[in-house]
Amino acid sequence: MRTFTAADFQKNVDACVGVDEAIVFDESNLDVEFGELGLDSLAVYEVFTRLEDDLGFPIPDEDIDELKTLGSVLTYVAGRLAEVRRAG
Amino acid sequence: MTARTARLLTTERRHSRVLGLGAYRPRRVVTNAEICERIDSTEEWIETRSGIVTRRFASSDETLPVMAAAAGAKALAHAGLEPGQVDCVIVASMSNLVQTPALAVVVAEALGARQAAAFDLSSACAGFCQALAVAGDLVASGGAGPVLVIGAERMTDIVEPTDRGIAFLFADGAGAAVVGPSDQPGIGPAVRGADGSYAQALRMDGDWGSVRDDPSLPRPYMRMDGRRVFRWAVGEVVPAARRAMAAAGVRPEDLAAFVPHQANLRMTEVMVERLGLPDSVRVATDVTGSGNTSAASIPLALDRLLSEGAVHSGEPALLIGFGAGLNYAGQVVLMP
Repeated sequence: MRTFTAADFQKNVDACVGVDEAIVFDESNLDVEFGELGLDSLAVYEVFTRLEDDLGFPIPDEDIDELKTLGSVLTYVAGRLAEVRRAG
Repeated sequence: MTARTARLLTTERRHSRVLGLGAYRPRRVVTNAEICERIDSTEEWIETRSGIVTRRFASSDETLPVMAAAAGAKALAHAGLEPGQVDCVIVASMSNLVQTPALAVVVAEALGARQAAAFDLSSACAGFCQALAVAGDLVASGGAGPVLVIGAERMTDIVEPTDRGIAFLFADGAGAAVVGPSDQPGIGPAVRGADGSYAQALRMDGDWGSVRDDPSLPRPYMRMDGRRVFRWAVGEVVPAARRAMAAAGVRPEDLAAFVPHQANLRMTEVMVERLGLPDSVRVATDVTGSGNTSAASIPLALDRLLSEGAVHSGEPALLIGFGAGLNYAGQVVLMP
């Protein structure tokens, strides 16, 4: 994966919470914490575990605990992808 | 070398396999609506996040010995054995509040298995697979004839009903398997592991001795950090499951069933994806109607798969138990 967008994150959230409890991420809630949007902490861990499969690199628990909004996730993943490109 | 040691060293090794299965599901069915009377949650949230729709809670007369003996008796009947033929009874449980005598001894007596040795095994939700491995080795080494393995739990005795993190997950029940000698291998090599650095992820929040010393203290309950357990299970248990398949010489497409500890349906789904199991593999989902019954969950799920005709005698199933410790154990077995 060379870029990571809100849609990529959304896909994994949908896989975790199901369509009945859909949580829609967009520009308006980039900085709203997951908990306020109805994504509980266990679901967040499940989303990141699925993201690891998409991205092809592990995301440490300590990093997950710091990532509380979609905006922070986009910045974090962009940085990690840049590291991968530099290393590759 | 004396004649005696010569005989010891030439004791013929044989194979072992599962000969029968049995289940005891408590009478009372508990809905998510009832759970929500005591925790701040919704029926939809519980089902979405855990897959659990109903679970069974044991009544006061459905004690651990009663449930374990009932499951054991069914497994013996399935195997076509009489209680008097059992050589050893092993019970795995993490919710037994009685320290001595061993639950297995009480169960053996209740069953009428008076020739049997009996002991308990403590390995939390991995207990059934650990006990199954011990039983398989006992039989294979010639150390015992038929061994009755039982996972029995009253998780409602150690989970606080108002704990919104786990009260909706855990439940009660017992499942059993009979392991006996076989001409062909029927129980694959076990994979096992434990990591005490995760001890805090799933633990008792106190000890009974402290309550004895200061009766004003609250009684101990089990607590779980589901996030840590989830991440550990995906990171450590999935590779262990692959090793169990490799040790048994089977590929994912050879499996008839995948029967992980029934912790949470979401966790099972992630494990299935990571293992790359094809659609032809039946995945146990007994958690949806049984909740998480710890050491009882795998034999309960096996019994359901077999009784519903989802898998058949002689077909291979991958079992993997995991839980407090954190620790895990698993193996590939042929269905009885």
